Amino acid sequence: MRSSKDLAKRLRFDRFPRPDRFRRSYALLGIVAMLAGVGGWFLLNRTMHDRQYLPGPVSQAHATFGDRCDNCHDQFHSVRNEACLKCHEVRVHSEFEPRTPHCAECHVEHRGGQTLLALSNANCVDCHRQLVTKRSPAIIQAEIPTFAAHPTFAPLRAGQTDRAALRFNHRIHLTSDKIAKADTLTCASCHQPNRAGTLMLPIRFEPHCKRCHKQELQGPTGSIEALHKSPEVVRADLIAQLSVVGIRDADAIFAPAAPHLPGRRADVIDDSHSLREYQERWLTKFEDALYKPLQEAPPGVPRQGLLELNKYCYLCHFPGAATAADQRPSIEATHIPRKWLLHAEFSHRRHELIACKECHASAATGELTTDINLPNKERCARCHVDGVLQSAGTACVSCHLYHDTSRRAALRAGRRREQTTEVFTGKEPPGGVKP
Amino acid sequence: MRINADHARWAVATAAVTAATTAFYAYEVSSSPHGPSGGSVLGLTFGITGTICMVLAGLLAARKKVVTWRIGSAALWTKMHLWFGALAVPLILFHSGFRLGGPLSATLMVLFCIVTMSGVVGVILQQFIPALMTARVPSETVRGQIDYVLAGLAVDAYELVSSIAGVIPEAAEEQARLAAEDELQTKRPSYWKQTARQRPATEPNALGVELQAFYLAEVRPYLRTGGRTAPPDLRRFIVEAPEFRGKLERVQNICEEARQLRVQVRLHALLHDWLFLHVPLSFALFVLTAFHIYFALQY
Amino acid sequence: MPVHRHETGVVRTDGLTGRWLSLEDLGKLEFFRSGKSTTKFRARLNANFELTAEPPQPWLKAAVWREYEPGDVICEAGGYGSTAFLIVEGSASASIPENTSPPPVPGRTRSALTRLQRMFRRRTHGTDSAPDAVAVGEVSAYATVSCDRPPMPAMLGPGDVFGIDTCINFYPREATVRAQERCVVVEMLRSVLDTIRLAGAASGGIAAAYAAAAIHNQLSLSSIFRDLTGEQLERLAQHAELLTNDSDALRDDVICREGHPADAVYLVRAGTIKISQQKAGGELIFSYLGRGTAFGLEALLPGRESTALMLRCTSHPTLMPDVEIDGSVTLGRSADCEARLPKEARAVSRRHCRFQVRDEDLYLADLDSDNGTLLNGEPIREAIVVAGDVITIVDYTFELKRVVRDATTALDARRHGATATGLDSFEVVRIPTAEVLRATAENERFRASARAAAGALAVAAWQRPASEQGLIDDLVRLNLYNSQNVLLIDLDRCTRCDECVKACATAHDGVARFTRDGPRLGSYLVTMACRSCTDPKCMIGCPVGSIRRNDSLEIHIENWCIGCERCASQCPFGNINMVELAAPVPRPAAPTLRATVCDLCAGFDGPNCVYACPHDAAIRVNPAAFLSPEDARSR
Repeated sequence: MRSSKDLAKRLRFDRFPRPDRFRRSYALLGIVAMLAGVGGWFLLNRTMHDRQYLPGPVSQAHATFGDRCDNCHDQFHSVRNEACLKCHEVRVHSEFEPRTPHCAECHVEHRGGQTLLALSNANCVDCHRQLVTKRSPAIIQAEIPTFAAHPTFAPLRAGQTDRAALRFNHRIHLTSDKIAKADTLTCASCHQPNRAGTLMLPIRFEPHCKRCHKQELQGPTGSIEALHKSPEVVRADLIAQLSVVGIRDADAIFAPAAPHLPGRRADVIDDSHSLREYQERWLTKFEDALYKPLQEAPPGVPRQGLLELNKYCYLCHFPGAATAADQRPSIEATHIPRKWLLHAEFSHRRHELIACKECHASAATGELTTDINLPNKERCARCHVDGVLQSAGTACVSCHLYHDTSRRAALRAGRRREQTTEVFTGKEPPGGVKP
Repeated sequence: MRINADHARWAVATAAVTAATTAFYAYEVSSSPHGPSGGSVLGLTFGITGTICMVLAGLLAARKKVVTWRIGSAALWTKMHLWFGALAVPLILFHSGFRLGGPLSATLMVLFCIVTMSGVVGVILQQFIPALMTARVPSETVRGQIDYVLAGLAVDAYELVSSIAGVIPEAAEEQARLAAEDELQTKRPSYWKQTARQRPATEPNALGVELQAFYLAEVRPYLRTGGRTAPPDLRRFIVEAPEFRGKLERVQNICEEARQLRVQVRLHALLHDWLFLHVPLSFALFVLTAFHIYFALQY
Repeated sequence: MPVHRHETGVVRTDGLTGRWLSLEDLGKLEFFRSGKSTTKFRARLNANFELTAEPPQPWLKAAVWREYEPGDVICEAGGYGSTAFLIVEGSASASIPENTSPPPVPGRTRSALTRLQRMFRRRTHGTDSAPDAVAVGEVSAYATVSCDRPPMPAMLGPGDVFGIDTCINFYPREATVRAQERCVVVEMLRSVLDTIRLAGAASGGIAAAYAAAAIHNQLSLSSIFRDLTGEQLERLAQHAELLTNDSDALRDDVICREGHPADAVYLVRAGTIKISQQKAGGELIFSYLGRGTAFGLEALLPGRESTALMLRCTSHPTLMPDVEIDGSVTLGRSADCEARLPKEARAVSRRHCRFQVRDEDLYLADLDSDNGTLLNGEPIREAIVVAGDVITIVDYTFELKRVVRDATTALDARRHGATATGLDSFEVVRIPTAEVLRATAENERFRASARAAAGALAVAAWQRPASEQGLIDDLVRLNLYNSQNVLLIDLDRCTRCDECVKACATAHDGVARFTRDGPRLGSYLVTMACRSCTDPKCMIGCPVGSIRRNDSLEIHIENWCIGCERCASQCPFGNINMVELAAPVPRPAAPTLRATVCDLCAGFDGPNCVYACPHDAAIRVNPAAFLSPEDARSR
């Protein structure tokens, strides 16, 4: 067994133990690795420029920027709204929103993909959970954390009615037995969606009402149809039609029908002495009929009797402002709403598998124009349930857009094309970024 | 460092912080529609704390440069290195959202993974290789002196063999070293490490020739360059010449010792080579992290 | 006392000045010239300092000439030092003060700034520290114990050498020596003292004086003998002798052998004594005894009496022979009484009283006698009696006396239970048992305390279980019994990264003070770092006295080391290395070879090797405590 002294004698005293040459190279290798890292960075800088810092691929829409990251990015600052607005128009959400959020809060770039928009309710609910607006009191409900808490749709709130100046009874039109079998009306008979499937096309007289509600007036030799236009146009047209009829059927109108004894008056349809007189006579007759005020049904007679009594304008329309005696009567503009849900985008096409009466059940029984036959949120909630896997989903964005499109209908994801082109081709430098 | 009960507090603290950050991360994943982002508030917090952990872990190298400063023992700093480094792993993973990202961040993630995994490998090796070395190398010595000791062993073997077999001219280096020792004896008579050497035998003996041949053919090459194979066997010489038993057994022991020292070299390399990955790449990691921080903030 | 050395030859220590003495100067002193010893002395001196021939040393630097005025303190009890004194002229008195515990260590309060500064210290404060600043650290374990009854002061005159214990063993000074009249003194380092002692010479007187002083001090300070009167102490001292490893009486350093008659009691004064028994499997070591312990007390064990209690009739000595009181003894006129009085003693009843040993006490009971029994003048029915009591029955007086049995028979019955072997260099005071027994017979108090001490030692000695044998074997194999502070490295944790050695080097101007190699203790490596031996071999024979202890455990090598390699070759573990070191300021010169040794990082808050190990593998421990059974079980 060797003693400590024996062991000491076989060693050479080392003042300061150094690791062998191999291991002393740690520091050198470290420096080499650092330089390699820096060199790699330089290389990437050369080849990819700023793209080397990408945390993820750019969305397809912005891929044309290439490596001109400063189109959007500021130095040492997150992307400012002004950068987006260089190409995209100003979008407003509400003039009363307490703060203007960053575009990047919802439009997250560098995730790849086709669009920059993949919203979850969290983005909306962030504010709408406890809404604080600049207007006080707020006109919308302050707490909308889920679809279940969604307030009643605006048109359906208390006190809201359909203020269209048109008298229409859905129930008669859909269920009356006075209508011939061949003419049975369904919802689709009048309500047709637009090409996008979002709104219903406006209902017009000629395609939808005229078949049953022809404005036929009894003329001298047959019926004359009045147009469904403004009174001036109707008058002009009637005069024209009378003229045509007068000339065409002059014999029948103005010549006596049978030989007559002298001294006795001839038996003519119209004994006007001039064209003008003829026109005025008949025009007055026509206009009296057309503009006859609404005759209410006498008590005891069912409602549909209105049609018996009223055939012309005021069956449906309302008279406008009072006019002077020598002026044509005015018909109040109908003001039928084109779009009921102003702050939402509903798409009938997406719901085309559902029968109309599933949602618009009240139409079949509604008799008043003031009825609003829209389904309420509860009806939507039968399919759009929070948190249920099979539900149709309750994403806020299914119906709502952040950016307010209600007022400016023409506002789409428009780009200021000219400026964008300039930016792409490099003619115009992107404003205010490079020092 | 051997992980034992002294590490309990550190391990518990790291686990607790990891659990807390996992909760935060889970919250972020659930609340952000686009997935977690390194640039969000929480993502930045992960990134900053993760970098702080990495920097604290990296300070161990600096600490070792000034060991005499009393700012916490080296063992404390090593524990800090281990556990802050371990804590950096979930933080950086959460910061990255488990995505590689673009070229720079992907490189960083790869470097980070190599550095931490090599560190883990190192810690695992440190749990059992020291004990293995203690058991397998009873004649262990200082690693930096193994060459010197092996040379000394070669001289000892030559001294023993030549005291039986006479001067062996082929063993020039050993003779030169013995001559140098003699010279030192005259120049520095009080040299305390000087040992008395046996002189080569002058009378020929039966064993001498055979032993000399064996020495030159097997023993000397084994001592100079042999690996970890079994040492040459001198038992038949012991049987042949029992009067030289003591010396021959010592020669045998010398061969065995040389073998053990080479085993030590191997085990030492195994215990330390992972540092070649760990240390240099961590330098690169720090540099590129600095770049990443600068440019990520810039954008 | 710490010594400042200046090249001009003037030595200053605590305000006292002195002058270096050269070899020639020493040779001129009358003391060294007296007798036929001079030639031997000079020869020895030359032999010792042969090594200092190159480079030439103008000064010996091992002896200083000092002069003291009356009343000056030459050395103070409890102080540390490394020198002995020789009185050339004048006289001095040496006294042991009542309480000689060392001066208190200054507290550790330091300001925040100082603490901050200390955090960044890079090197140990070797020679920079003020000479009289006590290092903040442990007080040496060798501080003299306080003594209840200080012995009378001794007078020292020309030719007397004192302070030998401190010079050789580096123990604190035992006595305060004060100059009585104007004194001229040569203060010398061990190298000169060794020369004197080894010359044999005038050493006749020195050795005898030293031995006498050593015996006297050891007896005075031993707790076993504290109940003796001064006179009894003197008598013991006269019969005692001092045994050392140089003693011719001892063979193989065996002080007493197992089975041999226990004819002496031994007090350990210095060094280590191994107590062992020879068993079938080999040597079974029981313990190692150090300074202040005693052994060989078998003769004093309770229950194995070597003295007897005798009942003696003092009024009528011829009436009755002395009867030993042993067990039950009845005193009376009846024939069956053990203590039988003749029929004429009418006053004594036939069965008068009985002595009975009950529960280790001796009872005297009156057996309804007619005339009653008086104990020390008091009538008793039953009472405890001890030696010295006087029992009176009317006009017959008896006394209980303790006498020593016949020496040879007593001793034959008592034999040493174990072998005591001295290790390395030791000093033991040998007191013949016969004298001790005599003292126990004369002094009851001493008898009781000696019995108690013997019993305690016996209990301690026989209680060690066999399972510790392995630990004790390790202690011996690795020479650890002598070590006080060992650097152990746990090999199961050590990754061989050398951080410990690098830190040591960083803290010591780039030169490491230990090597990370050495023998193994289980799974621990006993490194080649200074072990702070109880009995440092390295300090023996340093020609210039540069290797020494200051005020605490660690060993320093001052910068005037001349590189003779003596300490390095004497260290049994190879813990001292010779290194090329640059010469110190203010006289820079070419680097010279000088010895370096671990100094326990004296200027730091703990050793740097332990502090710098990243894996908690290095520990500095006292090996005996580390290997103690409680620690071993808990590890």
